[in-house]
Amino acid sequence: MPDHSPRAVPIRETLAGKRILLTGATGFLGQVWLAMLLTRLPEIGRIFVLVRPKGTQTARDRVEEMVNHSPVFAPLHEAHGAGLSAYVSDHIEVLEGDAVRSGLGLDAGIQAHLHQRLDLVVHCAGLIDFNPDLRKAIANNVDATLNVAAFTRACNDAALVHISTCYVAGSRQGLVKEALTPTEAPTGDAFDPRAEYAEIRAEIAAGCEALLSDAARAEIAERVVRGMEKRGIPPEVTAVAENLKIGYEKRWLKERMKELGTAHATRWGFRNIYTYSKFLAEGMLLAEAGDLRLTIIRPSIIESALDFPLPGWNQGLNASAPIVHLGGTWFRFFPSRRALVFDVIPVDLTCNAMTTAAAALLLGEHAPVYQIATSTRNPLTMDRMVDMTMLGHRRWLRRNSESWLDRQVKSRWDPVVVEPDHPLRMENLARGAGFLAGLIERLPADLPQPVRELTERIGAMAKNSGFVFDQIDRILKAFGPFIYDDHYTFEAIAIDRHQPVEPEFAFATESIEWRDYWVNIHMPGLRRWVWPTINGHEIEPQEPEHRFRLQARTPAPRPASSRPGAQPRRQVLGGARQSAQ
Amino acid sequence: MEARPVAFFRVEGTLLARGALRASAFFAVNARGFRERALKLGQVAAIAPFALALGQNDRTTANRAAYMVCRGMSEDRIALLSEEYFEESIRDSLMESGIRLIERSRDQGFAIVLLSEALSFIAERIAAHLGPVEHLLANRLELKSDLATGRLLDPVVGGFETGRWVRSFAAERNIDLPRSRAYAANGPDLMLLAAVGEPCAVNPDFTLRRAAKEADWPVVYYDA
Repeated sequence: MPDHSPRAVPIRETLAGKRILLTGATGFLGQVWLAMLLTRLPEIGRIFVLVRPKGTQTARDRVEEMVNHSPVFAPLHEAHGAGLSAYVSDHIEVLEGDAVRSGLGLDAGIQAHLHQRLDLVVHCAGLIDFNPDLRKAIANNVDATLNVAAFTRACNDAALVHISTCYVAGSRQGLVKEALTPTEAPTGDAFDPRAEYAEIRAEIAAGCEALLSDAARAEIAERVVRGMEKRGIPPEVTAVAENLKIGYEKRWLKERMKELGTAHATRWGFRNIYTYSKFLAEGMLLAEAGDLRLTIIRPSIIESALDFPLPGWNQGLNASAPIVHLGGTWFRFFPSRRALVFDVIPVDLTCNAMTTAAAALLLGEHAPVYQIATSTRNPLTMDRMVDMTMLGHRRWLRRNSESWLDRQVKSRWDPVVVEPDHPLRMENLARGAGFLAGLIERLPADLPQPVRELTERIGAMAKNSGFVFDQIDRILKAFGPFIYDDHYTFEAIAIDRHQPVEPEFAFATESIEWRDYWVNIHMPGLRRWVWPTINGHEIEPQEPEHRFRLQARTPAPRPASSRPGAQPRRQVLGGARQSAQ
Repeated sequence: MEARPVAFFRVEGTLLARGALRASAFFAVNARGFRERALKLGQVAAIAPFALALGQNDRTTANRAAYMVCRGMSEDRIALLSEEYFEESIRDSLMESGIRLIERSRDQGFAIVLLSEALSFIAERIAAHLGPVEHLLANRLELKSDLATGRLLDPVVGGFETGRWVRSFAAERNIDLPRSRAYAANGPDLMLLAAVGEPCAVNPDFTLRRAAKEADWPVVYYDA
């Protein structure tokens, strides 16, 4: 019988001198993990950071900007001051590439160089939009995973940590075991990842070709005509018509891809394209892994940091931020199920678990999968989350708002948890507002002036409100799987097998005091780092005292397989100027 | 180890003029949802006459009645509203003269013990505000699955039990009661004052005023 009693894992000793390739370093989780390694493990050998160029920015530009302006790196700035550039340049190398491309989009010489040197690959990159264009979901979540796996397999001796999500569980109820079930869909049907992958790729190709069909062309032509009429532009202005046509073609294809993705997701028991694509990625990874040393990490909803890099640090609008923000508005009826567990995990605890699992993998003591979650260890119910959200908003409004209405009324305007089919749900309110606006538009034109003005004002309010209700409805539907559809909890015991020798890497979810976390850490963090973007504002910029610049290092030795006399291309930037040397 | 003296302060009367009823009204008006607020305000209105009538002689029952209003409220809500109640209604109302009494006792080497009828969530903030406090005895709500049942756990502060509690507390902590002092304002605190060597009636009610006079205890009056 396998021995699952906890064993000490010496993280510092295990990771000292190791060379790691990290994808997704510019994302929420990847950034924090990178900063954590640089802060807590100066003994680490080298972190190769794979970054895409973006617009006019090179990968190097992006990394420099990130280290200079992201609050994640503030502790490093504080610790190293003017020495930060040297310290970071000694520890990282920036690779301009793309996991979506074969060979990670890297020059063959660089690939060969890395194949010989890497100890570990951590694949953190992915597309986390719930319902993106299917092409993007497959490319970023499946193809990229396969490319990373292939790259790792080609290494002499590297292991792979793949970041997935707990929500590959799909639509189901009850306890989700911490196990890999790549050939069983959430519906209970047998699932063949390779067959599904082939089918989805074929359907994507067919979908793209369908754009050229007579039906598609007719539909787009009609949209162009309507679009021109709406803008009051005569049909003979062909330049505008052509631009509109290009835009409508893109939109048409995107809509078809979303329909296709949703159909496949639904068929297999997933609530959205994201979770479907991550499940497919896991399945394909396991199908193609061969003898690759591999572990899969499935975090639940990654949220604000408890402590590292800063209490409350958060980034992006894809987790609880939009719905928690709603609690501070006049929105009242919150569709949810009171006893449903809302599984959130602070980002720094996620990184602790990643580091521990990575060390265990290198020691050969790892589990095949880790679910990094709180729902079975320290559950937070929806009812409690809604109540604390309201109380957190109340405290802020009473202390900070200049409006009497906000301080005395809105602060007490508690949302109530209702069933999703409540008569006053957003969908009905949006419909009602739209009906009212339409009714007002159809009023006779010969009304007395004061009446006309009043009805026009009411009509405008109804129209705006309808728009707002519709937006809120979309948000609630997107979050439906987390707040009312699926009532499950995630087993999370594999990580307990490993007891980090270094206490700063402990995965102590039981010690999270939810009230303190939610009201004193998480909500202030959202208010500072995330919600400004909802209102179209910028996040407060961080301006370091000493600007970080990637510096040249001593070139690495040329691998034996490189062609004699070949001049290396300048593709490895920053820490190592010369590639494949 | 030598027994040491302690200064006991009954918060209500020496530091605060207000009692449990006002706090329970605050919780009622800030309960979750409009319906619950209306119900709980009705409860407070029904309880108020009894609580006020009982206040002189049976503060234990008065406190139990007042805090029944918290039944069904989450611990989170009670804790966060308590913070707000302290900030908005208590902090600036703490009587300076009472605070000076505490500081003087501390300077004279007495450890400070606070006894309060307020809920522990509120009393803890009072204690934190007043500087180092050796122990705080306050009223604790019974919680089941993070919801208040409306019942208080024993010992309930406010009645004669406080005097009995002081004796067992002193025995446990090696406290020299004859060298200790106590400040209180209400009739039911007679047992507390009688337990120590240096009792002092502060702003005493009718019952305590008469008892203090008969026992020749010092009496202090202040309102700020």
